[in-house]
Amino acid sequence: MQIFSEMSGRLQTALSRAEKGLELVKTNGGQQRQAGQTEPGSARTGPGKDPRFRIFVIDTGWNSVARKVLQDNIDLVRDFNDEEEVYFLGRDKSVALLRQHSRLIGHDPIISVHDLRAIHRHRVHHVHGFRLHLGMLREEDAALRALQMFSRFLRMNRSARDLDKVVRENLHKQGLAGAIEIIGGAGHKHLTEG
Amino acid sequence: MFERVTDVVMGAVLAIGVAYVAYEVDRRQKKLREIFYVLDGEDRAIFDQLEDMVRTGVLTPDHRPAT
Repeated sequence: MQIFSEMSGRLQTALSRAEKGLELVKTNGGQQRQAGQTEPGSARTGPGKDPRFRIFVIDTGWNSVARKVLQDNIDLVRDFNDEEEVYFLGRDKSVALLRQHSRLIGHDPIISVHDLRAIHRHRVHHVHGFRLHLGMLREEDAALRALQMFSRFLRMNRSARDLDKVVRENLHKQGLAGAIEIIGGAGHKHLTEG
Repeated sequence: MFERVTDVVMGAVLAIGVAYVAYEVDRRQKKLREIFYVLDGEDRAIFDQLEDMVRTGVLTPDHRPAT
């Protein structure tokens, strides 16, 4: 009987400690989130940071799966690439922009990446960078994987000498990998099936 | 005679298989290039427009307009 009461006492102590710990985590998490939310307009790229890319998020607001995926995960993409400058166009500016570039209507949400340190191979300076046309993906899983691939790609190649070349090589490899999956009979859907 | 027919059928199946793989690789690469689009000369206008928005202060980093 004494053993049972001792065990019950220890269990209660452990439970109360765990509850205290949980409350502490909740409080700290909440404080951090609040701190993050209080300064939405402030630039996260401080003077010590050295941005390689300028990232533009263009979203006219189609009620799409891709939009939901982007909204749910953009903070994480931002956190992984916090050295870069990110600009959000908002609905009105996005609509105004795509009215002038109508071939991109329906491709949004678009994440456009401008390479600030591109090497120029020709005398005439072309534009350098790439765009992720997330709105072309109709399935949540495909959109999420594209966003993850985008985030990983930016992080891994921020010091690449020739970004355009790296993007093209990567796409080539991805296309081959997808075909090999089909030949191998892999059942899961590939990014291009979205 | 029977062996020859089998050979022809096997050859045709193999050729169809190879053609399918080539088609599939090409299709997937095209689709990926549409999703992950590398900027080229045609994109000069939209590129400049976005850069102008930054230069003129129309866009500020990390500012999220209400949607």
